[in-house]
Amino acid sequence: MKPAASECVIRSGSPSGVLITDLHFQYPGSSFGLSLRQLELGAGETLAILGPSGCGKSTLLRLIAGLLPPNAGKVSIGGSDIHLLNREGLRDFRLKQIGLVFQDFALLDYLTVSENILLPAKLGGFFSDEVTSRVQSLMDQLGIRDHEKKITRMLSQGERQRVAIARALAHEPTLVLADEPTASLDAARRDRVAAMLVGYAKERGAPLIMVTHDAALKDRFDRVVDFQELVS
Amino acid sequence: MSVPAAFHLALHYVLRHRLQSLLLCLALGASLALPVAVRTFAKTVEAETGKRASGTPLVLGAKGSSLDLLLSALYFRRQPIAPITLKQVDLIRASGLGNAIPLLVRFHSQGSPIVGVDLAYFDFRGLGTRQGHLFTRLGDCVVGARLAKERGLKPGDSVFSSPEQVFDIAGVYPLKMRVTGVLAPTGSPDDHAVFVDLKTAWLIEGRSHGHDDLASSKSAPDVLKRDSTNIVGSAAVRMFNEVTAENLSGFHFHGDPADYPITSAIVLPRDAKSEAILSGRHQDPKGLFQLIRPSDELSMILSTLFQVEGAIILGLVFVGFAAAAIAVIVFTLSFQMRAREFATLADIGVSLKTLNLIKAFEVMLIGIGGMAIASIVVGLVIQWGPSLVLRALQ
Repeated sequence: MKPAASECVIRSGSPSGVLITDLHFQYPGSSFGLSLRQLELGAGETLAILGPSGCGKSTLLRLIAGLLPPNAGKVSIGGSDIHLLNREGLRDFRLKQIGLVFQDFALLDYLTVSENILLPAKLGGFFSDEVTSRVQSLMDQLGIRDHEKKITRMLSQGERQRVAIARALAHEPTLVLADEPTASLDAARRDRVAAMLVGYAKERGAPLIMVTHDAALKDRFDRVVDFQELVS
Repeated sequence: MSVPAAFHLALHYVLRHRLQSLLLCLALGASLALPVAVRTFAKTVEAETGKRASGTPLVLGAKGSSLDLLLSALYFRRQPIAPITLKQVDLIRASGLGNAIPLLVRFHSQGSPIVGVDLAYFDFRGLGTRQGHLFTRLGDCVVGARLAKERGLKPGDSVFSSPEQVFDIAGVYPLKMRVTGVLAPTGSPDDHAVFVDLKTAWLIEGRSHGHDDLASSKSAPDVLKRDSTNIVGSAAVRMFNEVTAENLSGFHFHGDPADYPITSAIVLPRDAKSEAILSGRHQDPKGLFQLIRPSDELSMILSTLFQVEGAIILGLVFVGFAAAAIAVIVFTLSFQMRAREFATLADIGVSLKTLNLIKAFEVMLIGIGGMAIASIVVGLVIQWGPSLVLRALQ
């Protein structure tokens, strides 16, 4: 029987690393698949994965986040293989330990900006005044404080993307996975958001894996890999 | 899992999709309320009509529709029933088998029935005045509490009888009646009636009249012919349409009052034996009269009503099941359409239990909304049902 997340030795805020070994995945009934022999990130290390659209970058992120089960291989976060967790354990782990920025933002349209950002903390049962003040600070940094009470469907793409980033960081995850988080932003905001994500990773010692096709960001990361070279 | 957070998320969804939620609540509320409301309304009809009928032992009237007689004598509905004479009342009184209270329900005042009675009626129904006193002379009337409230009537005011039809110039002409009292409310048809003495009702009917005193008239145009025994007035003679202290003595009746019409009589037998004798005397199929027991007549009508009600409720229960099935389909489709939203929550890491809890809270909130609407509808039926029934019967 697979263990629950609570059995994993990962504590929020503690330095953690990511180790992926011999990962293999293939969509059922499709010829598309990917294999990754090894990828290792230390605490606070930042990695940009570059590659054209549709090459499988998002699939890799979903495998690392446990949203897709691999056919083989191991994804170890903070020393625990997350794919050994049962479904609910994996969800709980993701809710508390991983900050996910989805390519399509994945916001709830009928909630306000602040309600969306606080949603994981509230549904996960770790909502506190500390989280609230952190969210206020994040909204200030991302320039969305003025929209705090607005329903998210009323926002522009760029604003929605920043809300998604704030939601990913609000609960202080030990791993940040960002899928094209700057795609809808202008150059100035793109740089500011990238700097903010990298700064978070360094400050908290949380590894950051960011998928992007924007080569202009590569100087900000500790490591930059081409997706085609990373996988086979 | 945070239960309050799941509830708040469900609440946000319901509140921020108001129209959709309201429509669902209305559909659920209507399907819940209709069977209960119909049942409640039927019970109200039974209770309201039953009260009046059980308080009226027997009703005497002309042969014909017993339902029409019931509606006329108990609820003052101006039904097309043949009159009987006051002599029938006198005969019952003279038989020693019981008392009888005559009723003449033929005229109205702006839609409110004018009921000709004698004072025994007020004792029988336990009616007392809230303001003023009962009528004391020809042309007086007392009005029911609801009628007084609706028209702002008080002692000293006047009400007019309404003509039976506007095209009959020679027909019953309006009589201005003095209001001497307002009855205390009883929640019965008495609240909406204008009560007059039988003689006043006959005056409206034209059995009695008052006019200028021709004997002392010196005016030539008033008198067509005069001899030692008789005076014939002309069209110029002024007919009184109001009874006053000055002209009271000028009113007079022609003929024997025992032959004057009444529409029905409430019969109060002295005892069960008297009741049986009276019933027996009026069971002749070829006779001119019928003596009905209102509670029996009403039971017959209500049994038909309840058969219909049963069918209606059965239909409504089916409608309710259909509505519930539709609600289940609507929720299922809604959750399917929102699969992306729930997948997002799952991707973030929200547990299956929490997701199910969110859905359950949404269903619960809509259910509570539906029940609230159903409660309001049933509450309105309970609140307004009795007065609606009484209005319908008048």
